[in-house]
Amino acid sequence: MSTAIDIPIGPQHPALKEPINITCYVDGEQVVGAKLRMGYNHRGIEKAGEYQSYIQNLYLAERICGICGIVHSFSLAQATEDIIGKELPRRADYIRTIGLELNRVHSHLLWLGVAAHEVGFDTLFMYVWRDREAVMDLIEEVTGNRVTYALVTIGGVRRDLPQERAEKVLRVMDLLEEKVKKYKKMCIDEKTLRMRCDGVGLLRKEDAIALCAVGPTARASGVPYDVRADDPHAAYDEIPFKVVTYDTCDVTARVLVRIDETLESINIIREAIKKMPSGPIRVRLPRVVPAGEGVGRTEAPRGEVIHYVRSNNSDKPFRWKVRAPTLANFLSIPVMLTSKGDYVVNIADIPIAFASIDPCMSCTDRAIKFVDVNDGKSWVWSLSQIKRVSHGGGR
Amino acid sequence: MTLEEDVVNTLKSKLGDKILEARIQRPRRLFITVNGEAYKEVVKILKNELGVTHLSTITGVDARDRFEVIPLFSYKGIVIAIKGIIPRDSPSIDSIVDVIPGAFFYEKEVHEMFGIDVKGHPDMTHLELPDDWPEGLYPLRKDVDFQDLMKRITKERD
Amino acid sequence: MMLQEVIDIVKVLVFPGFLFFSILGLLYEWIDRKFYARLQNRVGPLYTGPSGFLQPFADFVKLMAKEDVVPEGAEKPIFSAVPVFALALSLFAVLFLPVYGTRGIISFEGDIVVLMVIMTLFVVLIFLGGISSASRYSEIGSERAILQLLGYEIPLVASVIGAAAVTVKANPSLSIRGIVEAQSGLWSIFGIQALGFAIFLLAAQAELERTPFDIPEAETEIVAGWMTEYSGKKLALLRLARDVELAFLCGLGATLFLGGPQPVFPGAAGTVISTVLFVVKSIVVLLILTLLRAAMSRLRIDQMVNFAWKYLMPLSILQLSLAVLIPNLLAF
Repeated sequence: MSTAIDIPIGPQHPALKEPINITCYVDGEQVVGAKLRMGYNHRGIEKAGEYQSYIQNLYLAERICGICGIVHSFSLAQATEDIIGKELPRRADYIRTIGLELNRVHSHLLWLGVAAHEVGFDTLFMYVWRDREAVMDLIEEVTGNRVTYALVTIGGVRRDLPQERAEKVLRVMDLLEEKVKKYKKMCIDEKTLRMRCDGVGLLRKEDAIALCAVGPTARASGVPYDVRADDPHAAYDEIPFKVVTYDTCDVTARVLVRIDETLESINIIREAIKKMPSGPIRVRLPRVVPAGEGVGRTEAPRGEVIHYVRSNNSDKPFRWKVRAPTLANFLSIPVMLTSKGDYVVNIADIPIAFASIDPCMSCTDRAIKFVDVNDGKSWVWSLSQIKRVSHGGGR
Repeated sequence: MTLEEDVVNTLKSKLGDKILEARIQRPRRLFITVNGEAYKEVVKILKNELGVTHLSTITGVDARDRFEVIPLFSYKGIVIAIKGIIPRDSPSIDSIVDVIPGAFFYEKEVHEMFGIDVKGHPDMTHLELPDDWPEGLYPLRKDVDFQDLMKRITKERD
Repeated sequence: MMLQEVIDIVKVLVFPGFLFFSILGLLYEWIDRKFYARLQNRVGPLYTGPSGFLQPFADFVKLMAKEDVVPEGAEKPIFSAVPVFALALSLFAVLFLPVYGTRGIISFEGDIVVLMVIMTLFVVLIFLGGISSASRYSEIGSERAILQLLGYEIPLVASVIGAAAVTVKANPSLSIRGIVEAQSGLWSIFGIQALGFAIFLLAAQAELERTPFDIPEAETEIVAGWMTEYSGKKLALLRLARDVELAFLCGLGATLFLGGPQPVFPGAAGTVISTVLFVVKSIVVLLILTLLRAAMSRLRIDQMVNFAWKYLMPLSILQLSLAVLIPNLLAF
């Protein structure tokens, strides 16, 4: 321990797509400890939400995360609809489900590419991202936007899915299924990739349960926790699907969980299009929400998203709380990055182990207090840190 | 008897009057109100009697006349919200990190956003706010105005 | 007398010496990038020159014009000297390669041993460059470069010496000239040397720090490894040195295993034709190296050293013994 040096990973580092600071304590090539510091992406969304109407917040919620936007607007809408207590048209539920699942396919493919890049397998990265583009185009057709989809509204959805568009979705799904199966084979067979992923980033089942891990991180440790199955929302109660779990608890398991989930999602989308009833896509709900409280949650690509809304008989929420899945999974990172007994963590394992929870900083740091148009406060704090890193400065 | 009622009965049989209110909003949504002192006890019972292990998040609410600390648990698909009511003049609550280790970050967040003292938490440093954040300024409290906050922050930076 | 000296100087400076190999190096970088991109379903460099083939030249010029930052804590003399020495070293190494005929500009008995020393010296330079930058990432990169050297150096030497075994039959020699002349009938790759060629390719990949052995400069782990702190002119020189080294190793592979500048069928070829043959053959080696780069992920340093000692080392020794023994056994 006495010879350990600390290596700052971030706030800016090629392995990180978004700012966070992980300080790793390293002895030679071996990592003996890790500490996280976040907050570089504060936008104060929760405070801002108290000053805006529910409808405005829906669009703000969408901007919590650029990848899984539907998830957040859906959760907020769900919590609000719970308070109002009105049933939605079934067709809206089905369209929401299709949106959520398209989001998942897109997010999992994106992650697979990033993970491949983290271990230096750029060819897989490029291939996967090429196919992700097809999903992006599809999302654009279905919702009208490539990102910040604005599909969900309180009381239903804003855009219908007519027959010819649904058929196009099915066509792309067929193509994608074939591709994803190919990548699965690639990930299982490619020797060097397996060498980098097997036994890396270990999170034992009991740790995953104790630290309240969610999503693919938990499922790769053998915890069958999936909000879609436990707490069926939208149309998930009418669509059969499998909760994918693996029990090797390492990065390989997380890769395979996500690939298998992508295949499941493709089936869910097919099923949803097949079963989708006709009818209206939204009901008009009052702008003023009666006093009460509601919880909305769904299974985001990264895990459980939960929104808590407290209303006070006005058109603005009294309190709006968002918890994105990455924050729930962060406690697992120091566990994954600390060598213990037979389990050795190398410096080379840091990026892939960290990436394996699919961290999304802008989701995690959403929250708190002020909307600063010049984006600044937390940046001031990190300047000295950045200077220290960029000037090297020896030991 | 539904699972939700089962949970309520278990809690009532153990704690009796300490449960101020138990409300089943709809299937799989359960809100239970308790006093701040009994808050940790409820969590312990949930963990030990019912085997609840998953804490989704802890949210704070500034209800103007009081604070509420609301951990949201997930149990067989049910969201169990335990509303711990604490007085506004001396806000403090017991830490549940020793019962549910996953509460670590959420309690830090409640502390820095609402200024609620979490007794027994091992590390009360900032989670999301910068290290040089003004002492005693708790942004999610209702008496902190949005515009004032923005002005204050931008002024300090310049 | 005077004329001969002028010709020699032109040979060293222009063709087939420094200028030729610098251009070749940059060209190879373009081929490498373009082929790599096509393998990944991308287009690669596109805008500078036809099909973007001037991109490496443009990069070089751009970097030369960029600000040159030396970190405060760095050992300035060593830090600044490393890029110059690296370029000098790789340009020196290419003088041994026979671009036409059967001998390079420098050629003597035992010159492949000198080449081995140069290749090791290159890694020592990398180590110095990284360790003098006073950056944590550079230090780790340097340490990894040396560790990696421990893994691939012996297999590399064994494969090169094994290539020299083709000279045993007629005219035993440890020189490039001897090796090239011995391949005038049949290239060494057709025979036991195929194994040697494979080992050479893997070792060359490690020497060049390319995937799966780009461990010392692993981007997602340690930013750019030992190169992290280099910028401006120094980075330009380092990259050029790298490119020349790439051209050198591809050329060496072609020379040792693919008959050098000789045509498939025995017979002397003219200067132009043999130069073209040399370039084409080394491009073949380059394409194989690029293919290797595209098909694998980066190994960890412990896995790399493990792999090198468990598989590469025994194989290379087996290859060397067979290469030496078989011709002798046949002679009986």
